[in-house]
Amino acid sequence: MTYYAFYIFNRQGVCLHYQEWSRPRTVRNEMDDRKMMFGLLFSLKAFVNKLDPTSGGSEMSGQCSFQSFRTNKYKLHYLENPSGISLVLMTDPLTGDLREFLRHVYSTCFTECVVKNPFYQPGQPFTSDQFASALNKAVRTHL
Amino acid sequence: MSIFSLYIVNKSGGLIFQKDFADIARLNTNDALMQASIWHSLHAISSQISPLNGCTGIEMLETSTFSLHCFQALTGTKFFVTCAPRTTGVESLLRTIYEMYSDYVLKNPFYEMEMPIRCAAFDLQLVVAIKGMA
Repeated sequence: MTYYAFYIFNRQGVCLHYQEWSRPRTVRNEMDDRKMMFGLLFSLKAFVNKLDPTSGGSEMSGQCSFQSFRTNKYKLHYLENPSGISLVLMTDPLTGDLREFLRHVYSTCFTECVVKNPFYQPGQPFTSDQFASALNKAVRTHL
Repeated sequence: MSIFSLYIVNKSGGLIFQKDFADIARLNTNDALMQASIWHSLHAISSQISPLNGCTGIEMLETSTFSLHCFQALTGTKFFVTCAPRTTGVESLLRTIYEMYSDYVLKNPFYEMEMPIRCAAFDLQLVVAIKGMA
């Protein structure tokens, strides 16, 4: 299982954290990449709600939540919490369902190392060595 | 029947065919046109944010209530179906639909490229193929 990159966004689209393990394709502009990622996810959420067969096309009930998508080169896993914090993980295409892993990352790494940090300002990007190493450890133990 | 609907999008992003196979909430024509074009753009963006080179776009999308499988032909025409989660055999169904598209639509001398598909034979064969999957 190869892990490529990891993003955390808040509800407003601010990228709170970005971590990469392997990214062979060079990113031309980092800010553009974050914005494109958030824009893609935002639009995918709306798209999925419209296309949901269990709710009428006209009611935006928001029952349907987008979980993951796969392309020929990578698979993107997505988890959004009611707090508005969304976690995005890009892995190789053959990976299975990583929702439990993302929930684990949110509850152990993010809540413990970031939210409980008294100096953390919500809505601001953060750099936390503890979070980065907790995430790396979670990735290694999950592999 | 676990296949909900089929959409065919031409290479410019316009919807050229849409059919529902199950008794589900139907999108009205305008919404269907909009969603198909939105899908065309999302498909393109997904290959731009790829961490690796050579990404051709979203092939499968999973949500809590449905899955979406997409096949993009080399010409840029996209075929996508919405189905129940964890449905199997959808990839081969998409290939079959592509074959039927090339047989009943493209070989129809009255069909104009990139225009909406109005071929009775194509519709019939589609229903047979979808029923065969169930």
